[in-house]
Amino acid sequence: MVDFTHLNVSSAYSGHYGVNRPELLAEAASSLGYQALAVTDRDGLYGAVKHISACLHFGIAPIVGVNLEVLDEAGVSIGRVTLLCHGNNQGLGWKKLCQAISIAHSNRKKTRSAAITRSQIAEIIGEDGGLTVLLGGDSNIGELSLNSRELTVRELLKWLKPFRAKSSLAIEIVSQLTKPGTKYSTDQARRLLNLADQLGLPAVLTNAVRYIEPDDALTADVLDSARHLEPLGAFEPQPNAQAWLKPQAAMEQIAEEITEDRSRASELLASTAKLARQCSLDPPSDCGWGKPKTPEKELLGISGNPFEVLWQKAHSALNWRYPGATEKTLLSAKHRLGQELITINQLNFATYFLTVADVAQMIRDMNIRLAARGSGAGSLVNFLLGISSVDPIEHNLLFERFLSTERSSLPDIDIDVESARRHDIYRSIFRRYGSDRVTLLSMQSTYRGRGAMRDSAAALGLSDEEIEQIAKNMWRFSARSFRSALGSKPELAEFAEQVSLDRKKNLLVDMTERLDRIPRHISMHPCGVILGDTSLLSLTPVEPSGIGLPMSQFDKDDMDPMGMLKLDVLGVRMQSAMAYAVAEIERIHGTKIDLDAIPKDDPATFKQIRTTNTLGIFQIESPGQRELTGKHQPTEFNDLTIQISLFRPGPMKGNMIAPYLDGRHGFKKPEYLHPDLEPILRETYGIVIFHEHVLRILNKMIGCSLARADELRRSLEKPRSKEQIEQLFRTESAARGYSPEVIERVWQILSGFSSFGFCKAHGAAFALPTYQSAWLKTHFPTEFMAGLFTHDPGMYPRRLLLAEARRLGVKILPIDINESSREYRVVMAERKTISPSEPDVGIRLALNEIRSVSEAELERIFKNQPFENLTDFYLRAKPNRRTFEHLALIGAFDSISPGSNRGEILARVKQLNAVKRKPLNETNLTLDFELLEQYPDDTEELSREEKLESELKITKLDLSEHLIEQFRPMLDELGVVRSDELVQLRNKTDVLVAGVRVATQTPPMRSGKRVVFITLDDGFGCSDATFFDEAQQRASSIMFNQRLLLIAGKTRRTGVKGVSIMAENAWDLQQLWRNFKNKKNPLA
Amino acid sequence: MLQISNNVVVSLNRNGEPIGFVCQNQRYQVKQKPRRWFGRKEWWQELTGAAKGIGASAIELTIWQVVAQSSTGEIEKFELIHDEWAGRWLGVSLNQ
Repeated sequence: MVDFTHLNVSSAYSGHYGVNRPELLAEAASSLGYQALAVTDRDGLYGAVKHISACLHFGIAPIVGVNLEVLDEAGVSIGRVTLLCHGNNQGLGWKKLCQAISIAHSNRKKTRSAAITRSQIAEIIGEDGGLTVLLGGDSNIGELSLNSRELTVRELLKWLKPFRAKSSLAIEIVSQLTKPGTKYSTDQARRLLNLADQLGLPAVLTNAVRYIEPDDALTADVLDSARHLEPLGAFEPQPNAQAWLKPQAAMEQIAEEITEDRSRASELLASTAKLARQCSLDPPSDCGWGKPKTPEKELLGISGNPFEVLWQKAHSALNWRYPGATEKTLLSAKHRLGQELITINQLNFATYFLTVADVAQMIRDMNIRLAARGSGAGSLVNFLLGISSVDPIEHNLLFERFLSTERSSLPDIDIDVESARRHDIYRSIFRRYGSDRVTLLSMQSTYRGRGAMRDSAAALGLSDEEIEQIAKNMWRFSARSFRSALGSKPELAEFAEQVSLDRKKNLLVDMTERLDRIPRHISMHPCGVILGDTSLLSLTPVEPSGIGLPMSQFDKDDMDPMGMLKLDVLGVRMQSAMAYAVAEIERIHGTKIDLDAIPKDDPATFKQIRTTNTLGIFQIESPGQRELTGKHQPTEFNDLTIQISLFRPGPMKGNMIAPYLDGRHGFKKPEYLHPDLEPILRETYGIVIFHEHVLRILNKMIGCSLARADELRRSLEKPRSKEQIEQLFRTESAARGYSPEVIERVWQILSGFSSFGFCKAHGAAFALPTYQSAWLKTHFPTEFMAGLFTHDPGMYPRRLLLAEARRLGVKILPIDINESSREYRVVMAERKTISPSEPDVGIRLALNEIRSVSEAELERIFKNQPFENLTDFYLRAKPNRRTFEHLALIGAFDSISPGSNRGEILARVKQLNAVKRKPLNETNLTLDFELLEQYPDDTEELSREEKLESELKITKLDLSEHLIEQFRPMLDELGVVRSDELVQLRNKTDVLVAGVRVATQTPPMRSGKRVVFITLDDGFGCSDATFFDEAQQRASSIMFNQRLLLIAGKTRRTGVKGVSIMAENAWDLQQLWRNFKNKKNPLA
Repeated sequence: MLQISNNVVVSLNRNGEPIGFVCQNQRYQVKQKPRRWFGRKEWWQELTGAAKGIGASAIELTIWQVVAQSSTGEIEKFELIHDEWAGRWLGVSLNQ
């Protein structure tokens, strides 16, 4: 018997159709003894690269195809077919496959879903072939074969007509042993086989595989429901559970059952094997596997040797980056530059660096802020080419962590830019390099807890309310751990009870777990752009993205195997906010500020950071970072690098924070283990935090190169290679004279380090915008806050920014119908006191803060500003009824209604709203209104509460006063402590704090136990409360869903400026308020 | 008319094919090689759980179309539906 190969297999990358990931399919095929395997996903090559990688890993031949919907000449759907690409033809088949898919997606404009016409397929295949179309049960041929042989033949002839190349068409024979006379029945397979014989077409046997095991059929049912957007039972389900990856023997049996003839069965299997051989890919020659591709050098304006150009560029930038440097500094820079360039040359990456530099220069020429992120900041070449703004020599960063001859994959250089200009940059990149060399990167979002639960619940027909109720309490866990979460998470206790009583709910839990990590939908990657040469569109299929630019079907993990250069151009809102602040400073004060050039040792900036009022400062504004700031008390730039790096999952799990702080504050004498290590670990008081530390230690103690050291560090993360490294470390360091005690202790640290550390270059790259934003907040708070308001970069709700602005003494000018614009503009504001600390500028709130106002209304308002009075506004801005009232309620008309209170203004607005806008002539209209130009003067002013309620409803901002102030009488009676008073209290004082929830976090903990951090804002700053197990139980009902909270607990001093609350219980503030107003003891 | 009988007792050969069965107190002998296919159940209507590894029998039914002769000598057509999950055979008489 010949080897059978499955030629029609849908992986999980067939959206809501296939069940298993390609890696698992290849593994299963290999363990079944198959020599080859196809993946033929619906509508694209989303899983193709993963499939090829997995096949190479398991030593089987990869075959790739696609399943596409086909339209006839009249544009009517004639079902789905599978296109298989032929291999070993120097990429001819792969290219045509990509073209067919890209065309199918470009048709989406007309056809809604991806589809290709029959003649388009024929045209692509042309004379020289390269693809085989499998016509099977899902095509119109399959459908017709169930009814009329004559019609089927007639339709088959239509299929044959346009195809010129040999073996372009084959009939796909499938029996999933369904009911006789239905799709995928043995009957149907037999009829199709007879037709193939009659017309002399090759026939191939497949099983139209959707999953690895029959058991997965249940998962397929749920996916079908999600695809149909209907509950189970409301649509025609799959016929049975036979679409699995059957072993060869089972497929041979099916062949015999269909043919009822041994020799015909053998023929069928032989022709299947023949096509499988024809379609086996040679990834390097067919897909450009692993071969780096960069834009042609002419495009970068280079003639001659790219390396020489790079050498020139980097050297000539030395004077720019190191102006007035000493001979010694320059010499060491040159030495390092030489070493980096040698590596780059050896790897033949010169063009790559020049490309990234070219893009960076283009961004700068567009006057857009940029900063490098990640290990790329460790490269002097990047610093000199203007890709990064962090000096790696000054900050002790290592090139080898970024790039070395020990690895040959293209390095990642990530660039942060102003988020608001990101799409402009993308378009410019497309223009500059041509759309045949550039595509956006895509990403697949996969099912996680909530999404999986929602789709499973919808499949079971649960109501929207029920689904919301469950979703509300699902808090950050993967779908596959749903059941274990039921037992361990207090907020799920109620649902767990339902699960034990209700069959459907119990089923729901299992179904949710089944969907874990299955891809859900494709979207544009938030920052990736693929830059290639003119072969790009022959190597990747593209489809339209949300912003209209073409997007590759490959994701970031596919880049390295495909040899594609991915540039991460990440939009960072903070960069936009800072650019905005700098522009406002120049507009208002005429001062030009170059943020990259400000000295990095400004004492006022560090003083401001040390207060822990870090809200709005890049990277260190989260509750945890704020607490760490209080303990750490940074005094210089390197401290920021360390602090940002410490507060990462790795260093936190590795328990690095406490020992570091002990060393820093002199509670413990730093231990360096050996004098040789002191220079390496001095900056962190003997604690190994950075990848760079490990590299240097290995370099010092075993004498290997830094490049080799980085390879060892990477291998340390793999348990399998650890033993070997230990051996090497012990032998080599002993040979270099280190004592057994030192070797033992250092190894313990290295061994425990594994994946816990952080790349210092990454930390340093982040520290730059951290420092810059802190500097702006310190010296230009009004302009900086205006930038934050306009670009909203932080993790907190906007109303917290408002509270912070108030706390900083920034003047907030209310929304005003004549003064407000789209942005939060900084305006000159009259000083009301003679205090020099009172700013002479303020922030005018923007009009688009009003949620109900439409774009058209905004345009009319801005076009017609200023307005004389309400009638004038009503006539010229033509607001809708609701917008008009909303504007009045929040006080936008106060300035054009002198002498009237807000209640009267509102009454007047209602009057105007009541007048029908009749199509009268203009003069008549005006007259009518003139008569009415009187404000009702007997209306009461809105109460404090009414004002606040309207403001929150309309703008989500508490404009007139802090939200918490309305509860003041109760808070005072209960003795609630203000957040800014906490720092004066002794450790372990019993306190009550109140506020608006602004953050809830459940960071990973070393113990594995869940800890919940809740941050409240009360207008005086933030208070952070920690909920351990017991407190979580007590407050389970409000843990994740109430907004206004009262928390009881004990203070816990965490450092000079640090205090947090160990929570004991928490209550819903509004509930307490109701009790209070009913004269009951609120806490009783 | 379709006649559905619960709890049919079926005897199988070594390949798992039905060779005889008792339905409504009547003994039948299968006369030709039966035709087999697989159908399905609306498992979401009955299952209390669907954890991974539950197996295809939770969703699938095996259906045998048989021509059988009763002990009284009559030839009849039947569908024997095997619900492995429930451990149950159903007999459907296809005779008019």
